[in-house]
Amino acid sequence: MVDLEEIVKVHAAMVRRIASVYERNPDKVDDLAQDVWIAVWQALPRLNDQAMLKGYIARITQNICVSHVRRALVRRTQPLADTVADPSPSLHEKSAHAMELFRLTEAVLSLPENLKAVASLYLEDLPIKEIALTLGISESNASVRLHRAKSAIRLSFGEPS
Amino acid sequence: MTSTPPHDPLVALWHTAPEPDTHQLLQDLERFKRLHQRLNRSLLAILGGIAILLLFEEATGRIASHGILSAIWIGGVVIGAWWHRRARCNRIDALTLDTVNLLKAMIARAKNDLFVARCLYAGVPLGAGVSFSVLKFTGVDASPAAKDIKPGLEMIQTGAGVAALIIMIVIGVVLARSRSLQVRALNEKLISFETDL
Repeated sequence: MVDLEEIVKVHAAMVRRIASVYERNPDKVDDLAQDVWIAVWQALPRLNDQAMLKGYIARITQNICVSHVRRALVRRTQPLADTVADPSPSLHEKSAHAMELFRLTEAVLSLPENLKAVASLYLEDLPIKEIALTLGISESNASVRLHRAKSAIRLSFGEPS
Repeated sequence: MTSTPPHDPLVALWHTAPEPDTHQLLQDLERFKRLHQRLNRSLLAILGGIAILLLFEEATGRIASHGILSAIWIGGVVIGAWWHRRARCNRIDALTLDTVNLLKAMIARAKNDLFVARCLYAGVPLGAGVSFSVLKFTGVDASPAAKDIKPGLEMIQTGAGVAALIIMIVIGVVLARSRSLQVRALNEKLISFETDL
């Protein structure tokens, strides 16, 4: 049996990074991450291939983030102040590197849903084949989407696409 | 384009995001696991206790139902357990299905719920109305014993029936609204994923 604690320690950062692409509010990112880990815990007995663990967890995270419609519907009725995160946290003003990271996150966040999904998995270093398998699309389709996503991200960095 | 470049600066930058605090997360997960186990044990104890009580009462002859009640109860518990297991399997679809198929499965489930909701808010009053008309038309009436019921009690029975009907309609309307929104949102996502570029 795989130890959940070890898995959490190794992959918590990845889960949070992917979730942060779908949610601005840090509390909601935490909620999403918690949902992911509960799903992973329930799915642990099915996880036989340890080598595929990263892909499995990325898939669960991706699926839970994409399918949290009910929460999103509830969110629409909440006051605006509760849903919009502070756009200029002091942390991002402290260093150029933090600012770059903030811009990258914002760029991925502002992508359309289908490009966002591909971009978030690509940034987690998953190969195109696995991205296509996770999303249920063809490899060529995933490649085109990734190309478009990267162009949009570069554009937001002021680079030519 | 078909393989990930190993030294993409965007990927490198992405991986410099601060590490989350896993201590709190692990504590929350541990608490959730404990609560889950406690809930399961409590539920099992309550359901088992009721079954034993029913068996005892029927075996000692205090309830003259000849084991029918216990059989129905145990059957209900078994069906409930099967239903719970099925729901649990549905929850872990996120592992076995890809995003497109997961969205399709979620849409199918939401449409199913929408149908149930429509049955509640439209089917229930319609069924009640039709039954009432059929009974009146065919002349089928309440049993002679029912005619001895006091008018006050009859009023309460009718009121309770109407209240139950209204509650079902309201629940149906609320459920139908949330499910139709869910179906629409999921459909939009699915279209965005499925559209070939």
